[in-house]
Amino acid sequence: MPDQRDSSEAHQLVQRALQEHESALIGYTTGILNGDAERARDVVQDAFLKLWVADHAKVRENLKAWLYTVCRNRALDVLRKDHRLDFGNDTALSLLPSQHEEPGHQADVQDLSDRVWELVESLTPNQQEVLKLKFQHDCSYQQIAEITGLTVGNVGFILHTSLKKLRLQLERQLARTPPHAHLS
Amino acid sequence: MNPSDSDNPLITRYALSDLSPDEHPVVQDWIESHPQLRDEVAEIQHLAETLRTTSPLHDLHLTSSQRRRVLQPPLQKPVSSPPRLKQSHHAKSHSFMGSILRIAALLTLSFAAYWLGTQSQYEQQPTTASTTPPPNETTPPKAPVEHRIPADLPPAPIAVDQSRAIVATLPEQPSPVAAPQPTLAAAPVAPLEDPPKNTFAQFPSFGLATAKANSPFINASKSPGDSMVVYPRRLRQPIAPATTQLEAKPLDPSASGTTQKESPARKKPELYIHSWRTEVAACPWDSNLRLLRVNIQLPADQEAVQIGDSDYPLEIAFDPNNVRQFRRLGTRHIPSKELRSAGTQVVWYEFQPNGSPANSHETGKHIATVRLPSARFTTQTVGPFDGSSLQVLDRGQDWRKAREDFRFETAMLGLGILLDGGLPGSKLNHQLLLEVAETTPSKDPEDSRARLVQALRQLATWTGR
Repeated sequence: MPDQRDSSEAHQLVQRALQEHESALIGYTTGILNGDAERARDVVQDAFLKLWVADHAKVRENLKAWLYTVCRNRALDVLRKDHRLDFGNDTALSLLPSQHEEPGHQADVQDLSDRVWELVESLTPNQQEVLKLKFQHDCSYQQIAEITGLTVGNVGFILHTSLKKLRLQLERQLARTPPHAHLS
Repeated sequence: MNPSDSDNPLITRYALSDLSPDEHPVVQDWIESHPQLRDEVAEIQHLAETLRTTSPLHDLHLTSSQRRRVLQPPLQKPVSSPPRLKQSHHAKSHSFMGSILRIAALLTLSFAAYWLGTQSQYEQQPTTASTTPPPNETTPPKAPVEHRIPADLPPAPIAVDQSRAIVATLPEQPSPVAAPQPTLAAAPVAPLEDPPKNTFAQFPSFGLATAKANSPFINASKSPGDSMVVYPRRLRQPIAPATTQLEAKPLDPSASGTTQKESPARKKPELYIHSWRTEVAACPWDSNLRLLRVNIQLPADQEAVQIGDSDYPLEIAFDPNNVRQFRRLGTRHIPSKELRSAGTQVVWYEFQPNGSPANSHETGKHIATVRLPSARFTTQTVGPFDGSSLQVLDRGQDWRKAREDFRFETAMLGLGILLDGGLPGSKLNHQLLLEVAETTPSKDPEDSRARLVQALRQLATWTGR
């Protein structure tokens, strides 16, 4: 009864995916969709539905990367459909200049560590995405490469340069902030 | 790259503990021998820790209806899902209503078992998918009945089963009678000699469905357009054979009824296409005619293919100024081999141009306009093209100079037409098709050409042409 076994396997896989990745996937997709959690839920729902018909033998070992990849692609499709993304590929996407100004020089910063993710917003979208996948979603270099379609070497370079840029910005911020505000 | 350089991405990767077991000791040696690298690593680790600990928490969840839908197998998957079983147990818990329901269930099951028993003897083989249109006939094995496709019928189901059906039916027919085909059968023009019984099993399955081959031409000035329907679900990966689906069939209506009540009707998903292309070349079997092939690639990794059950119109409007008459010859669905590749829909037309196509080498004559309304390209560099169209030009190309895959598919198409009864008055025969098929000399990793050539040779031998 291969079908029943397949169905049972698929059911287990979907349950596992829900338990382990539901929330993080919606968060990740919401980020791509500019904060639209409603559509992000739809995208994630579609990804789980696709999981039913995916090749379970291939997906099982790589479930996380597979789910993130499907959500990412679908979310980018949604953006393209809405004409909110005027680029045809990820290379172009990576060239997109940051929409955010470097965070201002507010003197009333309480704790720079709370602001580190605001500083992340000053990076390019490509850098932001790789950084978020690494530190918010705990993806390995290999998984990030699979999700974004970059090479592992590219991922390493992007992470390296974005962390370096962040450190520079933090140093600048530290120099500008009052003595009581420290990076914890 | 200088290993002691703090700008080396491997230092960051080391700090983030993502190095491979091979790289780790090498980088560790660098770091131990260069004190400045130790500080660098410490700073990176500090920042990484800050990023991790201050990472915004995600506490987002699917809605309850979305969660329910996700936990139910979508469409094709025949499943006796645990929630369904749970519901029936729950129903039994009510004592009075429970006993009534139990009796009703017993009666229903008995009837279903009886019905299954009576039906199963007529079933030749299990259906492949619940959403696939039911087979339009159940041919009793004894009579060679012709099953003609009406000219306006949408493309036939994935024709993977064709060869299987040929295997099942042809050897039982003594010559010289019409050989029945499953969906498009007609007698071959020339009487078949008794074929060796086992050789039909070697016939290739190319997934090509020819429309009624000797259907009349349509006058382009009277009715310039032809429309058909694209079913993206036919281009998805083959799902595991539905051996249990037949058993599950009688239970499906009630099961799907409950699911449909719970979930609102799905919106028709967008149809994305990777690319589309047309090609026109001379028709090998009739010098007065031209062949047009429309080729559309759809990514398999999209809702319309994987989950959707919708159809999308494909319109081909022939230019009456340059085309006298046309007819659709066949369609082909090539499912994607894996989720991240593309499936292909191919449509073939035969048309008679006004005037000579040889005069149009330079600029090309406008032959037709292909439209796939409401579809979108997957890449923004090309589209979106909502409502836009693909113009087909005929530059008078000879079939010998057409693309290799065009020639190969032409041979397949010709074979399909021959099996469908051939084209009276044309030069179409197995020898000609062999000539066409054998002009495709490049690599043939899937052995398709070899199988086609073998089939054509066998048919040529049996029919003597």
